Amino acid sequence: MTGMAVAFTVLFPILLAGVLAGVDRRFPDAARIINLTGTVLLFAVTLILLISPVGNTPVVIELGNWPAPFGIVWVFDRLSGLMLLLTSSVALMALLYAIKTEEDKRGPHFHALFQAQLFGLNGAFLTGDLFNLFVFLEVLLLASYGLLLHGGGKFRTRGGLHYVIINLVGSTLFLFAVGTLYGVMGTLNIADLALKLPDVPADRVPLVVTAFFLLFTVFLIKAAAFPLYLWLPGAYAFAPVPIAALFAIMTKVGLYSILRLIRLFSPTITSDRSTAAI
Amino acid sequence: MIELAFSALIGVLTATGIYLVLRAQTFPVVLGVTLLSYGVNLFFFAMGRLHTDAPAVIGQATQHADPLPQALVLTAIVIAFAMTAFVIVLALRARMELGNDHVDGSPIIPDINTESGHNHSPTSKDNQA
Repeated sequence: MTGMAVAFTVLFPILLAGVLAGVDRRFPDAARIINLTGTVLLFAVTLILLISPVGNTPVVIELGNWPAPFGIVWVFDRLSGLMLLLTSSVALMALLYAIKTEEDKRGPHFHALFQAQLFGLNGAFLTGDLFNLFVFLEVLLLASYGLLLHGGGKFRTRGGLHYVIINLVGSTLFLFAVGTLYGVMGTLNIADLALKLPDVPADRVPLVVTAFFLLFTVFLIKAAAFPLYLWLPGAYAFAPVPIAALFAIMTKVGLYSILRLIRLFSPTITSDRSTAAI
Repeated sequence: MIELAFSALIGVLTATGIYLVLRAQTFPVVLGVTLLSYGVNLFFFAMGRLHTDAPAVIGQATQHADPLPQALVLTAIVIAFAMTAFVIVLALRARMELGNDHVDGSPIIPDINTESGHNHSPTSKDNQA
């Protein structure tokens, strides 16, 4: 039951996005109502999930019932519950603002892209698998490209071009890092990686550390952290207002991923530093 | 031998991709992003180790290849393909709306040196504010 509620927060938005993509153009008012109802429902579910005792012990969902290190897992705990609630509450406010200011009618498919973005965000917060994280990041980025360009305009196009290209290069780095990790350790499940890290032979440790720093670089690009923030002013300054609000959550995906990984991998990195000093 | 050729190929693709991404026109940048994604896809594929005559199915042969990187790289190829299609459309739109194919919307040098270039530029600092 709790597993279904957790899966709902990811699967419901993409289902809704599919419906909205069909409804959007012909019945714009119906699309508004569907999107608003869906977002309110999502907000309610994430709120109940966070305040109920569900997250006290992490809930693990094995997709397709494949056992953990082989299949993809989604993990729900207090931290991801908090991020889900944050996402759905910001989304609700952004959507209300977009409807109030008619921002959603300036271009096609605002509502479908909005829900697709929520799908990517919720998935990225829940996933316990590095490659699955890559897929969700791409989903949320693709939706964000569409939302950023919503309504059109010169500056938006220029800011969007920078944003898209920087993120494409970032995705390439992400794949290099994930590939290296898989090549050394043979798994991409985050919990399984943590288990296998102590057994990595000493001559492979530099490879693992390189992969981690590459991953952190990518996440810092996505989070627009200090020297890697150059895409952000162009994208945020010209994005439609409610979308800029939603983008504020998007950059947190990078920080959240760092938070998830750094706890697992800091022992490897520090032990490598001590051996290098010797 | 095949390993050397394979890694050289990945290296050349990635180096060319990085060089092209750093160009100032959108067309080379799009090509660069494409080459980078080719490079990384081959790299990811090689992370399951290189085999000959080894199917990715257990029981078909005495030696079998790791099927997971092959499945993952398929996903990565599809995503890279979609992203490339998107960035081409975006670059074309930028070319039409901004009037040139510079990634910043206008070449910087005439902007600084000539008055007319400054006035006509759609992206000069004054207009932006």
